[in-house]
Amino acid sequence: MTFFRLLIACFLMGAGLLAGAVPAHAGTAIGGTLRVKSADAPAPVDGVQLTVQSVQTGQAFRGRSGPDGRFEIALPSAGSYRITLDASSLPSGVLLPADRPATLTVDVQEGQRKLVLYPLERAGAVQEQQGPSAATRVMQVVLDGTVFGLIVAMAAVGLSLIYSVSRIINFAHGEFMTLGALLAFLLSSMAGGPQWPLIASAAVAVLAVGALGGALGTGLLRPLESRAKEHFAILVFTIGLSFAMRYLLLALFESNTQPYREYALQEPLRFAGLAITPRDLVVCAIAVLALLGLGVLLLRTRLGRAMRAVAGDPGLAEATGIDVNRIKRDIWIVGSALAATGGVLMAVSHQVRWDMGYQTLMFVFAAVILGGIGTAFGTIAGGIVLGICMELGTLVFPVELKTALAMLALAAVLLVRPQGLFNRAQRVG
Amino acid sequence: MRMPPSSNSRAVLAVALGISLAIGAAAVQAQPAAGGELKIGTLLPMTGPAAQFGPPMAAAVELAAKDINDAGGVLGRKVTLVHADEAGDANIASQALDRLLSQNIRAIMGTGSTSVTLSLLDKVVRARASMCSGANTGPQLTAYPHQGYFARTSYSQVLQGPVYAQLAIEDGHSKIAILARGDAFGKGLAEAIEQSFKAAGGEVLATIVYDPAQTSFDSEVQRIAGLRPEGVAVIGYDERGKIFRSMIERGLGPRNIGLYTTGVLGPDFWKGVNPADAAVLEKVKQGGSVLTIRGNDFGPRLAAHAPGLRTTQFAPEQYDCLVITALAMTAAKSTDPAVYKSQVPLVTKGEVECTNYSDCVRALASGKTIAYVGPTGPTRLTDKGDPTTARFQIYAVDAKGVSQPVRQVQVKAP
Amino acid sequence: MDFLELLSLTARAAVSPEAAVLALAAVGLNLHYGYTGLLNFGQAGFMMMGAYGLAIGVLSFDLGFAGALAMALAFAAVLALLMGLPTLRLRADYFAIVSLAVTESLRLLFRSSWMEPVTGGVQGLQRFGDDFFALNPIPPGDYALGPLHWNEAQLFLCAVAWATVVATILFVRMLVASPWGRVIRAIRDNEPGPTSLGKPVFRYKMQSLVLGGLIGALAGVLLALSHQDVNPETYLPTLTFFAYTGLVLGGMGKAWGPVIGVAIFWMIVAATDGLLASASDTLSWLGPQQVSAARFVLLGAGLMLLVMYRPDGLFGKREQRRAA
Repeated sequence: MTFFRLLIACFLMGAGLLAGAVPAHAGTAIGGTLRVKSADAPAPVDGVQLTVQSVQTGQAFRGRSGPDGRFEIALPSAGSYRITLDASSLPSGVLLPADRPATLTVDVQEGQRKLVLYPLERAGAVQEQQGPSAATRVMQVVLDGTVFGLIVAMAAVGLSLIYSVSRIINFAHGEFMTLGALLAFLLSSMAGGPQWPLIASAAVAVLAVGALGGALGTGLLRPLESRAKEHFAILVFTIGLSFAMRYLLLALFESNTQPYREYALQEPLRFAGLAITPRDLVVCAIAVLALLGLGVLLLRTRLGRAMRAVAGDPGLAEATGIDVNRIKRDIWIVGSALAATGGVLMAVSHQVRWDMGYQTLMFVFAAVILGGIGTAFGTIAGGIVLGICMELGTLVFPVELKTALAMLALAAVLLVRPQGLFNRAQRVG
Repeated sequence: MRMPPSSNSRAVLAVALGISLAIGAAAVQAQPAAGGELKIGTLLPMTGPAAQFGPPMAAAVELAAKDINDAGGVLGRKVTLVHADEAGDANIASQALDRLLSQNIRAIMGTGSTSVTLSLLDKVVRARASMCSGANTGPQLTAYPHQGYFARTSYSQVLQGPVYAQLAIEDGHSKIAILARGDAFGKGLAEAIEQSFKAAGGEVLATIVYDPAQTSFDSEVQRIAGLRPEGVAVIGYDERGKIFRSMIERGLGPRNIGLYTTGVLGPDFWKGVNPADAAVLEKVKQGGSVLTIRGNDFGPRLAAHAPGLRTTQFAPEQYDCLVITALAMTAAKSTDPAVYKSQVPLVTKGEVECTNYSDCVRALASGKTIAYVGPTGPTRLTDKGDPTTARFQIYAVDAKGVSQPVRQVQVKAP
Repeated sequence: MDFLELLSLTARAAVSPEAAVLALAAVGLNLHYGYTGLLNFGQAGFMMMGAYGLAIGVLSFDLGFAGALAMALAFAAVLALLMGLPTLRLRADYFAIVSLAVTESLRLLFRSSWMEPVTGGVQGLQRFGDDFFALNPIPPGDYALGPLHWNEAQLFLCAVAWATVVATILFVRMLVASPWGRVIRAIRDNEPGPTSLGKPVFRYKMQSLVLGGLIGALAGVLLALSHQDVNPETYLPTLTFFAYTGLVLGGMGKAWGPVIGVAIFWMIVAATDGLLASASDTLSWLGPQQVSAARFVLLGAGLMLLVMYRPDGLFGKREQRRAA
């Protein structure tokens, strides 16, 4: 009988102890789950002692982790607390890595179960293999930079061509890019639209923007050229045009960033530790083909020769019987079409947005200048070099300075070689 | 040596200016006394980088105005709203503020970003107008000597950081990376998350801050992928669609690791990642504005008032801003900000708790002090106009791409 | 908003501190490009230097207003020297891009975490103008001129800003009329000319760059004071383009051109806002975002029309000069 009473007394005492463990202020506690990395899933770690001490009052509380690895130490009030893991209570073969602190200081709110964690490991665990090697990182960055650079080159070469014949820096060039991308979006991906395949939509968009560019060049800008004694006025005109077009696109398209319906999410191709999506690879291929096509046009066709003649010396070209006005119009068409192509490619790679062209404009200018004003091929090279250098810079400098470094690099190149990287030296002073 | 343009032209301009001023002066005399209606202004990001928040904030203010007018208006006067766009640009915003101030509008709802408010606050204070924002989370506003002319119902980044850190720990992640937009919002929150996660024993493998003007995030995502984090916090605006896509393609999608982001992703956000798969963002967790509290049906009412909103982020906060301002006017029996500004914090921490405008007005009429608790939850503003309590809703994206509420977390300022 | 309200809003915009700031920046550009032929695309950078110079002078070095102002001007002068020494020998187009690249990089640098302890990074700096406003002799209150009214601080700022504009223009006029000015204009029109006469062209160009840059810095100081806030996002290249727009509208190479052109430009900015706000009821079928976007479309269209029909500035006649 006494034995039975003793048993009940022990039971009650145990219950009392447990009851004492019920939190004085409902819910305020520090807790967590102790797990150790193992082959498949993390395994819970049982029986580890933890001590919590209030920073304000110095009062201490104890707890242990249960079979599921969970621990919870009730606290009387909100405040700052120090929790210490007693490393000697860790089971054998489990340890806290040397660089992780055993004592943590946290703020606990009223009624909050504040979680902390201890990343336990098995003794002698094999260190996880390091990330990609430095060489792989450099190559990946060069690859990413080339993709971006080619897209910028596509847009830039159009600007360069237009500038070479008309001496007009078209500030609305970015909007031509955006317009190309948006028209392609409208035709291929917009809800309620015709839902054509992207290739067809892009082709139509590029032709449409080319036509628009031709109309703009001849209809608006040429009369302005002859009337404005101040060449700068034309620049301001294109600034106004850029504003009007950009916000018109915002009104029509709204401010969200959208991908095309096709090729949106893809598994990247992996080789030699590098990754590139098929989408980006195709973008590069198309850009290269388009630029090669441009090269053929400029070098081998009569139209191209006429274009180069007009760019070099309009007076002389006219004297040899070239219809300068028609060539100028054609260059506006080709230049704008190239901008639109650049826009579509950029949108395939980086999605459509109402101000995507405007955001790229700085890089486009930089590519043109870097490569050398007035040479189409220099511009292409300039775009690629710019893209690669920008991305390489992020290996050393913080990412947020990416654009700043590109700009500084541009300024530096110009100081040393003002005609651009790929231009023949000419009198520039 | 040239002379300036002919004095004729300048004279013409001067005369024109003078005539318009004279006409204007006559017009001012002729205007009727503004007794019947109370004009309140909104200065919200309808264009610019924060443009996605303009429509929900504007809709919330409209809903609040409707609720207030249904309950009899403010001191018997009907509230009419005058909208203006701050465009995320200090100069444009300044001119828009001028437009509001010139119409004698002295209570303003806005702005959408801390940096715009900071550029306007001096003018607001000197004009003795009051401003309340549901979206400004930067810490600099606390120390700014705005003499009580500014208040906000939006939680500070400092309070928000620990919420995400705790989410990551709860999900069992000990190593995370943070990818944040390089502006006051992104950087501040990234720091807060990093600090909190580290203090609780976690390891932050990298915090990468990107240029908001970037178009491509592939190299940043690639760098994070190389570090093999167990969870990633992404802090940004709508460029996140591109970032998520890049992350999913490089093995950092929600099916591989824990993904955490800010604000409430709208029901169509997944289309910006993969238009062919509504479940592409399933399990991505967010911490954002609360839409329902204790049965307050703010969420459905907002959806009924403005269907098709792409996000509801900051809507409840801006709603509360207008209601609190109206209650302060009622309590002070004046629409002059210099008089009612002291009431703005007081109506959020009085004796009697009330959850909507008309109940609160009734309590005030019977002589009690009130504590307004709206859809954002209790705010208990300090005298500096900062909320001491913030309520977040944790959301998780479901298989249909819709953010579903998981639970609410209440945080008190230290 | 009725027509008279619109008119008063527009009038107010024309005399606002923002207009004065832009006008001052344009005066600097007028000196650079209108009189010297230097195509400076980095004027926003000089404004930024002035603004941050003032703010850093007060906040980091505890200088009074005068000291901080001196610091602001010093910052700008240093930028001008740094920018000009290597590049002034380049052709106009190259100088344009280099000036743009250097000022953009500087802006991004100021915004970075690295410079945050001094420049405030993305948050910028606030509350550094109390010394300036303490100089205000106008007693507190509301002052009205017709339908326009300002408080004592706004009035003081406006007065100081426009006084600065007028003083600077008179100074520039005097400068341009002087022998120095004659050389400058000769450089703009025909650079080999003055060189062959033995004038140190480079030195003159540098002086012009520095002076125009200092004027830009003054504009930046006024802008910073008007908001008591400096933030890197305010000094985007767009600001330089706005200044050029004002310059073109008013007529380049004319002393008062910048004031008139910028006033017109800022009036269009205000008028488009007011017009669309008043039409928003009729336009309720457009979303609020679209109404705001439409305002900027109108702005762009307005600019285009103005340049189309008045390509040499609003007042037409000017002296003949060869295209740069």
